[in-house]
Amino acid sequence: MKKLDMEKKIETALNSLDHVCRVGPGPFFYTRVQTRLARKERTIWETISAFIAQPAVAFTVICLIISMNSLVILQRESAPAITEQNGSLPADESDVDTIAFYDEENNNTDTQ
Amino acid sequence: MSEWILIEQLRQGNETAFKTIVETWQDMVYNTALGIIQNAEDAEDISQEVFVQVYESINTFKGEAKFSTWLYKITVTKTMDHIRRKKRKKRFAFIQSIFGINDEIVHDPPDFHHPGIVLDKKETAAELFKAIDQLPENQKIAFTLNKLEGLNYQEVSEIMNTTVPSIESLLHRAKNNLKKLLEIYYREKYNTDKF
Repeated sequence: MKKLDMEKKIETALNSLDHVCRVGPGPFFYTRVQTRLARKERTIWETISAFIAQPAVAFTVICLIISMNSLVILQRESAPAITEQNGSLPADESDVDTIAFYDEENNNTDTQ
Repeated sequence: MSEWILIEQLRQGNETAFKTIVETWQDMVYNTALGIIQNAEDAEDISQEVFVQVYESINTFKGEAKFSTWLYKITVTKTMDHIRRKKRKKRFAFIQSIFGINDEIVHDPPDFHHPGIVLDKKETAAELFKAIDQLPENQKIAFTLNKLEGLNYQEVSEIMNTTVPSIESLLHRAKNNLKKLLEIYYREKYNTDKF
């Protein structure tokens, strides 16, 4: 290809966009915009409920609840030993001699 | 109905005003996006995003510039974001294909034929669009707005937040780059080095 031909071809290409017509989107464009807007306009609660309703999320939550329940049950099985140990505490605490306490108080008032 | 009345009505949540705005400016938004992204499906997607943004942020439009300038700005920003997202996806797909995670072959897009170009110019215009696609971002935007939308330097400078002389220089560089790119393309096409 000669240099002159090349220049002519480049110039033709550069001018190929002259008098180009403006084109628009397909029909019912506004309806599609509305649909998109509606999709975006979901409230925060709708978004949260949609998230929770997802099978993966629901399954994980169920698994979590089951495992927490089993953990509590397992802890309860070992619980009697703890209650026995702690069971003596209230007995010791209730072993306060109330009469002796009042006597002590009376003694104090007598000395005053 | 005047542009300002429509904007005011949209601010009050009037659906009819929004419909009129969409129908009045949809071609302008779509044509601009199409010229830059060179894909009809993506241009439609971007146009929808633009009008959703208009609906949501009409209160931020101060009226210092023309409404169309504001719309052009949103369109250009959304289109460039879309291009960057696409490039990121393409890079990610390429990396995945290296590691054998994704066996999908990344195809180069086919030649873009703008539907608004007359038949006898379609082939030449497709070659030009290929070259435009290789321009740096700013040059690509300025050239598309000037050539496809027929905007003058003043209008392009307002959209791109710059001065008229810088747009002149940007367009000058764009044309020079396009000449070089087209020359390389034609050399390869006709397989010749002789001039």
